[in-house]
Amino acid sequence: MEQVFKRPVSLKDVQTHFCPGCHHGTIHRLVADAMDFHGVQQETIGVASVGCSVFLYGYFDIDVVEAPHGRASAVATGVKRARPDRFVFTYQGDGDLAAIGTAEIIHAANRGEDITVVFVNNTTYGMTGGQMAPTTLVGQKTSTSPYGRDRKKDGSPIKMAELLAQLGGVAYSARVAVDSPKNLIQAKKVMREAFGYQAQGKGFSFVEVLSACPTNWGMTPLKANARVGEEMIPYFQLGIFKQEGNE
Amino acid sequence: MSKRLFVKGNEAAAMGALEAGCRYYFGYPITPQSDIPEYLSRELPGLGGEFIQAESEVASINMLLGASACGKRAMTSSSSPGISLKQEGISYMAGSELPGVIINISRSGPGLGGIDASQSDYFQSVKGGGHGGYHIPVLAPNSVQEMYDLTMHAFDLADLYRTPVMVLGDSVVGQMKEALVPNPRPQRELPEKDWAVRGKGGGEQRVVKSLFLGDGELEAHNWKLHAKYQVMKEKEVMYETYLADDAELLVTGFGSVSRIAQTAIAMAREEGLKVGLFRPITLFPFPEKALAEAGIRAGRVLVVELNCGQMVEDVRLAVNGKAEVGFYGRPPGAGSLPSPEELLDVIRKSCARI
Amino acid sequence: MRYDLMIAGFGGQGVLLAGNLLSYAAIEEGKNVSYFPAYGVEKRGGSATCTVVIADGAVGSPVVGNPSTLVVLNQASLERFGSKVRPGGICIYNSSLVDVSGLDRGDITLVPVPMNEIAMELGDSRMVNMVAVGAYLALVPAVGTASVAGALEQALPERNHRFIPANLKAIEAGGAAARQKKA
Ligand SMILES: Cc1ncc(C[n+]2csc(CCOP(=O)(O)OP(=O)(O)O)c2C)c(N)n1
Ligand code: SF4
Repeated sequence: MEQVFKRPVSLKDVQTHFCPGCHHGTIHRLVADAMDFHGVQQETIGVASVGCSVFLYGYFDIDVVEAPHGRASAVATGVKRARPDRFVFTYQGDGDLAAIGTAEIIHAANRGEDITVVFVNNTTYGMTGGQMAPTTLVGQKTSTSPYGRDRKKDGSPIKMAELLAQLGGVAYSARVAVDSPKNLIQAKKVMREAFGYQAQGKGFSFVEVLSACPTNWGMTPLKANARVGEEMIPYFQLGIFKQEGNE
Repeated sequence: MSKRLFVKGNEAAAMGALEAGCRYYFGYPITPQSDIPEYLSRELPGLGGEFIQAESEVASINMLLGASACGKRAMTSSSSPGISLKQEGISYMAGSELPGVIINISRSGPGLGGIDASQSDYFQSVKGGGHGGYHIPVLAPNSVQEMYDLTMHAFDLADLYRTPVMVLGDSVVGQMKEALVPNPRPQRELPEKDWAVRGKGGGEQRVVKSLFLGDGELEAHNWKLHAKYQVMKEKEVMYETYLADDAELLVTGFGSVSRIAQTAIAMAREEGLKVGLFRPITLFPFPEKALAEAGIRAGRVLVVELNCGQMVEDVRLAVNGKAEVGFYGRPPGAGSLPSPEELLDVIRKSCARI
Repeated sequence: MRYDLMIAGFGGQGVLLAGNLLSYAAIEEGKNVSYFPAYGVEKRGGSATCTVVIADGAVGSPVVGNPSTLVVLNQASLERFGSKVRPGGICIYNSSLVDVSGLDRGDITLVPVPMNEIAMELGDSRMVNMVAVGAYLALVPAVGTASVAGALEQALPERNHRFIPANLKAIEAGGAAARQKKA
């Protein structure tokens, strides 16, 4: 894929630990780019979640608080209330945000906390070895849904971006993907916009990013990248679901 | 004799649960115990059971509470940070006198810590990890066979005493593979679950609860629980000794570290050092009488733990000043498991001071 | 008797399968065995190590600090574990990839086996681990080669059973190479 941008200054010049073909690295770049764009690196406090992205302090050149699994939005709430003058974002996986952290994200969003939440949806639990996530597609086999996700017993994959868009406190909610140059350019724009909402004190902003996990999908990086477009996007539609002051 | 299998400790625990008749599993992924839910997600549907990957540990312990209130054999499993989240539910289950099995394949902390073998959850497990002054039986397997056997035993204890029971292991016993003889479930006489909710159906009302607001009610309830713990102390203590009879130094440790100690002791014996092992299998009830006897006989006790010193406090209470108690601890962390050779060194030094 | 063994290499060299195979063979012989894989966050890529203890009596510690036999398949593993081999012990190394000139151990027996070359000659580079198993068994009689043949069925997933004859050949070739080097 063509290189869409150079290394942002908010990103350290180090090798990441992500598996080949993992989209976390690309999403890190998008977040760093948005910080650079708004010139907020020096005043940003990041909140890391527990998942494959737990080491984000190793890659972002910013201050970071590590939250317990699922609690990043609550931790970010505390940080933002204590330092309203700072720029605060969380970076959370789908297990973290949409399973164990559901209460925290819904209430942070509903209170309209002036934070930005980056939500990485890879339809599985990456770090713990590929268990079923709340976003696992119906029929998808994982290590704890060996016969495929069953809508009747396991429920349907949760569409967080749409769900949060319904809450009063949410100013911005969107879903993007990074599987093609076109989607990547849109993702970059959306990420900048979401961070912009916070920079202007407009309230809670949320970006869901569809992400590949070749390791736990049991696919080559190329195949995994293709799956995002073939299987995920048809269900998790891309778009901006809420954009306050822009309706 | 059944055929010998070769399986992981975590799988053995899951197999033991199935053999014990457990058909309800509620959990949430966490390393290094995910083999347990993974195994059960494959097996339970075919057995007509229910497997739920809950949205969190908080939800899963409460699903266990619900299934258990219906009188079913049910379980959950997790690892340290997840077990912390389950403590509220465990306290409610203890208060409501509900059976249930909780497996903790513990890892290192505090906080996110790491995933390496650790015994830092000893206090949390045996002293009543949640609020309200309760205890639960805690079983500490040190082999794949015991992961199977003690998980089965945990279900019986839970039903016998109407209490949650914890099986406490770590990544050594959870991840290693050994021979397993999948023995059939022992036949034990168990009380009828005449307290389980079922929909009245014209019978007596049944209520499962832990709220007691009447005058003297809660006090009486606490005394009742206390009395139960006393019976457990009388009847349910389990331990194992190795070359302890003529020992002049008694090494004690539970779970994984006891295996390492056993080899260190065998090496020490080859050097002519009179060393033996005392291994508590039940951490609650703690084998205080037997340990005191063996410890006082030896005169010196060396406690080894994969933490900075927890069980050593119970050992000190047990020998009550009548034997010298030393401690060797290895706080958890990558590559921090002591080798038998290192423990041998500690043993040599302890013996040299005799 | 109690045999302890550490096998180390990088992910993909089949270290864990080799350890499993020896363990299954021990089970087949009615012996006690523990198999303990090294475990960490970074399971992906990187190194792979396992410890196997085979005993007539109690296995005791599944953790081995100073193995009596070390089988190393790559250089990094030699550097990490070479100094730990018990004095008087054996270190079998994959001389296709491992250079022992930096290892100062006059007190152990070093046995070079060109595992990659042997595997290539047999037409399958994935057989390195089987060559290693053969070399080990030629020097240490922890289990019989016949039991290993039987154990292959259990250690390998069904779909790979058609490779059993090839595996056996690799084990034999590894054994021959080790015996020759030792003589
Ligand atoms: C209380 C608690 N429960 C479980 C875990 C284990 N755990 C670590 S990361 C993780 C989920 C990872 O999945 P996800 O959030 O989707 O992020 P990814 O790794 O896929 O990026 C879990 C369950 C934990 N650390 N703490
Ligand atoms: S396991 Fe999946 S999410 Fe985690 S780093 Fe690897 S590819 Fe990425």
